[in-house]
Amino acid sequence: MSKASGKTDQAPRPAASAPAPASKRYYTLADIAARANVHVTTVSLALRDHPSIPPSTRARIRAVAKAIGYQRDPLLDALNFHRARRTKQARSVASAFVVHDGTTRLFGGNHYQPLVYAGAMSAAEARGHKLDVFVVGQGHLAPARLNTILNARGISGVLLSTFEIDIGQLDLDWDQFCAVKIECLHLTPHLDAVSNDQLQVARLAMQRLRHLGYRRIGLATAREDQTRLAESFGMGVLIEQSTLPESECVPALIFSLAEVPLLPCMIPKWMRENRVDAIISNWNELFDTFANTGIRLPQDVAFASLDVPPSMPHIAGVVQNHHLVGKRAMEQLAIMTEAYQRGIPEAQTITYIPGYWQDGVTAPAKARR
Amino acid sequence: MRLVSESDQPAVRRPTLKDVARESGYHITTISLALRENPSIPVSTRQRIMEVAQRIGYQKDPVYHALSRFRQEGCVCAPTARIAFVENFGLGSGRVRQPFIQAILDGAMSQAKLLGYELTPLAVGEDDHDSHSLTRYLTENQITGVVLGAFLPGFAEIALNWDEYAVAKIHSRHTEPDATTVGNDQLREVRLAFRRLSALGYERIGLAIGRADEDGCGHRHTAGYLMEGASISGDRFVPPLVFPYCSDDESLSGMMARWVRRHRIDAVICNWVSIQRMLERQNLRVPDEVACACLCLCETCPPGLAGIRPHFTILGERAVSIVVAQLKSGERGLPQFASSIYVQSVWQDGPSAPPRR
Repeated sequence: MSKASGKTDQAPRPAASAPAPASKRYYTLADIAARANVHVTTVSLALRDHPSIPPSTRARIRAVAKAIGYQRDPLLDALNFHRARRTKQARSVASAFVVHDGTTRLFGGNHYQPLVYAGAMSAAEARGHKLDVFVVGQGHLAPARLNTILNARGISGVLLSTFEIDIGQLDLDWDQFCAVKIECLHLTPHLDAVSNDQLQVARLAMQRLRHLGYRRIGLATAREDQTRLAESFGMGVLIEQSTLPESECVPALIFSLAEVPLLPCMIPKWMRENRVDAIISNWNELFDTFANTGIRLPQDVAFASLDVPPSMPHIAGVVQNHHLVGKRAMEQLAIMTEAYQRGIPEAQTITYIPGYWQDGVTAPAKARR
Repeated sequence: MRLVSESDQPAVRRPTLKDVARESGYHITTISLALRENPSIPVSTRQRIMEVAQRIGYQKDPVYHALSRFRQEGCVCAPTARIAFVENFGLGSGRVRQPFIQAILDGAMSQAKLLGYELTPLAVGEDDHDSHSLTRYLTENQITGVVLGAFLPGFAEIALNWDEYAVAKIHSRHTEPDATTVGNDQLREVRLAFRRLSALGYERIGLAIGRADEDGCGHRHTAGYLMEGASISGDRFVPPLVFPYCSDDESLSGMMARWVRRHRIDAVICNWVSIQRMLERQNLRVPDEVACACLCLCETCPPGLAGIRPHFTILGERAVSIVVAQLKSGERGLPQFASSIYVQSVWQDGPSAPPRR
């Protein structure tokens, strides 16, 4: 808890053998240190389970703490928290932001990665951490090399940002690192993860479009995105459709990346066959397809993006909180780094951040007939 | 509604005794004495100083107060900080805490203790607190951290002035507030169970789930089930049995048996721990005629059940950690975007769902 031992040392501390005054009702780390015959900083580290203290020493110090009834004080905890925030400390904790070189395709125009990074950066700066970017993949770092570099620089916190689905695994020596994944749920190992809530995003888009009067709403997305996001878009649509009459359920158009050049044929065919009146998709590239095939928005079909980029404030759809995703991921990593929670957790937790709806010209309210 | 600031800047500086001194023109020691109602300060002066203090929003900071007590006396006399764990299942009306809620509470208790807090379970309901008396209790006991511990749909709900509390919810998606929510991941659990049963050789797998549980978790059971159903051929898909609120074992077992026979189901996924007993009561032999898997395995479950074992204690731990983090940084109120935190679970094989020949 308290690291302020250096200053308090000026006051004479009781000798190791001297018993604490009988009237004392409140014990500090210094009391434990005196009894366990170690330095107060050792006690601090041991009670926080720091790996640099041998397990046997940790156990001994814990036993002493328990015997004299030491308890963390939440009030002083809070005070420390505020003091640490106000005083700029020259702390040199660095964390790694690991990206894969092949992810530039994702999320049209790639507004995604910079926003996530900015979010992570804001949380890192608030804690006085540094955040270094590392790129792995073909022509960049190999996992083993990354492992060596992180070790050499004393970096123990790792944020894994979006990876392609063909990378199923990243082999670092995980026992050495505290790590949080951003969005890449398909990637093993099963580390704690923070992700946009795509299920909620898809449900929200369906609900709002229905509210605007659209009845045959179809999802168009890539199979690779479905896999990467654990089919969250598809599931969101299915769960909304489960309470709709069959006449209002449009089967999703799921295309593979290889089929993208065929989209100008596939989209109009799918629209015609299913009488689609509104399309939802995370592919903002579909605007090009619409333009090339002469589909007019919103006269022929309405469109709601499942990931509205900041550069398109006029289009309808759901804005995903990429910035907040990065921020939350870094906050979680900071907590783990401070508590020395390294390795793969016993139970993985996934944190989902919701998106919010934005009205736009591509999906105006439909005139009631 | 006041929102928690998204920026990481420290909040606006709070007024101190010095500010009250400058505002009122008295010396700081006078202020200190006056605010502590020391009789050496004339009543009229005390009155004036208190008015000024109130006007500029001076408030005693419990943290600094504790610190100065600690420095003077080596002893913090403030009572142990407390967090409320609110439950609505009708404790006062004689209902017992379900094993999974007990496990959540145990986790919350131990985490609170570890962080130096005391966790106080508080019941709301017809025979327990209502919003009014709960607010009063929290105020009187200076409790500002609240965990909503797995509120069951269909029971009492509460409305507090959420702006004044650090809040986290466990499940409880059917009710306000829109706070950070911790839960086990029903969606992935159903998918995991479905896939596991498929791998064991079952072909007509059905999901039976309570409507109340669905409402409490945001329909995540059926979401997972529909997604798995979408990947099998249409004639193999069994419509889920979403049974009504307040079902009991007896009425449900009949409903369940008719559903199993009607759709020729060979494996049932259900979140009730009495699933095997309910099937056997209707003369459906487990696992010869129908296999079953429970989504809610815990210590008190009948032995031999296959299914999903959620980490209920971790749910309690996480919820308390979230509240403590807010208390520590002084944040109150609801976040602008409430995140959902799902703790992943594991599958456990068992005799109720053996590999199929």
